[in-house]
Amino acid sequence: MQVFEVGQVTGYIKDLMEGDDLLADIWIHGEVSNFTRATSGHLYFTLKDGQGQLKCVMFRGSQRKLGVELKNGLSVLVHGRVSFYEAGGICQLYADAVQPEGIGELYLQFEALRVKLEAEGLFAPERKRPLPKYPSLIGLITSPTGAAIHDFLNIVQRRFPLVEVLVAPSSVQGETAPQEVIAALESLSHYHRTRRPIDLIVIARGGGSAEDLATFNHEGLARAIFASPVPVVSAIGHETDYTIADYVADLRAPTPSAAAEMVTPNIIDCRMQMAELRRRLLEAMLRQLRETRESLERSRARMERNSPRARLDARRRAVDDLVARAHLTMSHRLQMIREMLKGSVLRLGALSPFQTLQRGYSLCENRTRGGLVRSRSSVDPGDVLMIHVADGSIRAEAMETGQALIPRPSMEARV
Amino acid sequence: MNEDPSLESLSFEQAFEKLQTAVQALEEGGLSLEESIRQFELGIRLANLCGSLLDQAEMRVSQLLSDGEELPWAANEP
Repeated sequence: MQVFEVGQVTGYIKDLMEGDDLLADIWIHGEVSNFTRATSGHLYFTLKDGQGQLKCVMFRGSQRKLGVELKNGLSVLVHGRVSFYEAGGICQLYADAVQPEGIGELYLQFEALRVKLEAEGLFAPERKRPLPKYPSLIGLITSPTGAAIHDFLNIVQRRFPLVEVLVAPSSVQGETAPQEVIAALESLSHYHRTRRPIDLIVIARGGGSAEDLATFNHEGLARAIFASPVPVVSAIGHETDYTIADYVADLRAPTPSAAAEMVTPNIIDCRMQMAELRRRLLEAMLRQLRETRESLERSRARMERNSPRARLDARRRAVDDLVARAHLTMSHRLQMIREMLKGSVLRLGALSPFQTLQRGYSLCENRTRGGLVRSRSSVDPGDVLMIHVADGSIRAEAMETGQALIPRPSMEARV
Repeated sequence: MNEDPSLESLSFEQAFEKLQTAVQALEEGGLSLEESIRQFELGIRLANLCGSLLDQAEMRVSQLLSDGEELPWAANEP
């Protein structure tokens, strides 16, 4: 047998109740009794009918939708969640909205329509269309005489005057309002398809009582918004209450002024973004230029190593080398030649007539005829001769010619 | 570079998108120098266009009647 602690059981009961979808979001019809207002501001009461009773608490922070002054015996509709209060050991309703029975009927109709359209997928988050960041044409459905249109246009003019606004006038409250708004939606859709594309449509209403919201809880209008080829923004002018139009619209704005802010960018932001894009553009271009220049430098260095001019330079250098080497060689050779010449001079010296003269020979010059005397035929008797000897010369006169005293050696013998 | 006359008819949003595309293309790199310069010049022209659109902007308001007729709004103000 398993035994539980109390806290385990109360926790279990609480989990059970809070896991129940019906109890988590429920409207309950009943009569108020045991009503007390605590000093903390929380409201405590009991809802009862002929069958049973249910303890209720409405916390101070949940009383925004307290649509009636509570008192015992009042018949009301209460919305909230039913859960288990562990510390008190009681099951109770945590209320967040209370409506008197009459208006409560409207709420029940509203809830029925909301549930129905939600089931059909009209509120599905995935079908919400994004709005263009920089709209150029906005369709505006509103009363041409209300405050809403002035609020809206003033803010759009201040934030993003690039935009054009096409107003489709329509009454936004009263019997005929739903059909007028539907007609305005249709004529804007037609304009969008046949004339110029409209970026978004705003349906605006500048405040009013809760009863006047009926226009925007109209099923036909909800379906027209859903069918619109252009994204629709609801700006019904009621901060707290959601209408069916709010649920089905692509975007819900609490007021027309808020809608104007939400559908337009701020021109100051635009200018800042433009400046930033300019900076990035310039930076990217400068970077590319820098990289190109660097790569060009590398290419040029590589090309210069391989260019014809470089080859020519290389050849020129080779020639220079050769010339230098040639110079060196030549000087060697010149040296050799010089040496050879020196030897030759020495040898020539041996052949010099003066050396011969030293050895006792003489040279005879015919001063009368000119020229050296090589043969007896080159002298006639009486010619003046100059006889050169090693240490001087002797002037003489030829007397007669005769046979050689020394026989001439033959050519063969000389070789 | 040839002037592209179609550029002047762009809306702010179109010009802004084209500018962003040009900036991204240039930042990603890998373009030839010539193509980069082309993108850069296009970007500068788009930036100038966006700037002048912002400077000259004056909100226009018109009214669409139920018969489809379009009228200037100011004439209908109460």
